[in-house]
Amino acid sequence: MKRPITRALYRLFLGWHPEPFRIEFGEEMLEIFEESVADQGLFFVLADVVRSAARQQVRYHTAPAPKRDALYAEVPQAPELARIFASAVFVLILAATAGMGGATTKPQEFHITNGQPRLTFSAVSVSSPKLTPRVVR
Amino acid sequence: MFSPAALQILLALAHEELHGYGIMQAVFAQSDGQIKIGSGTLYDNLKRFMDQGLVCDLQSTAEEGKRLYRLTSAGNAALSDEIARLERVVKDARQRVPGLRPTRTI
Repeated sequence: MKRPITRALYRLFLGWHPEPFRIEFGEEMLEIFEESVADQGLFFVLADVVRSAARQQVRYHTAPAPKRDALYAEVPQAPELARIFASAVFVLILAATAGMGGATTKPQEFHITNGQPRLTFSAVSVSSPKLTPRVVR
Repeated sequence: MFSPAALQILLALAHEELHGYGIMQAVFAQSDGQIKIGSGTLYDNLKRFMDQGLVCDLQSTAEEGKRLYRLTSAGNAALSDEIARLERVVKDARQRVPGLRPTRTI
């Protein structure tokens, strides 16, 4: 016999369970609701599902966090010295990369020697040379 | 160490593969009506057993597509250990309590 009101109540209590548990067992628990009530009585079944929801919530919120991938788990577990060394290498690589891609700050000089006096141009960057004429005597 | 309900669930599954409601009925029958477990307690324990690798599930073709549960070899070993532990407890209790009544045969 279908019991729409009590079934709705049972479904409500089922909703108190954590989502992973509901997804895995919710449908099955609903399927055997009528049979359980016929065997054990409504109060027993409802009280039991409330107890179960409380237990599952406690377990769900106190469970240890899932293990991280080895790549990430390795870093916090590594010895202090190794971590410092790894950080230093990382900073060096970062600095080298920035140096290669960035502007060249070293001034370059172009000498045009056409007898006397000599004309010299200095450029701050290769990509956009700002030529500043300077007469060298 | 298992709770009485957990032990009864494992005992029910040791005999055969069962679906959820089948386990509830088996527990009631094997405990002579002493222990009845609700659906919440049942699936609560089943989830724990599955997380621990003591029980696994398989989709049945015969039982209207209902999910069946089966004891794994690890579950079998855990159940054997628990039964051995209970036997030691009973043996110890018999030695400690001299005036213990003889076991009642049902």
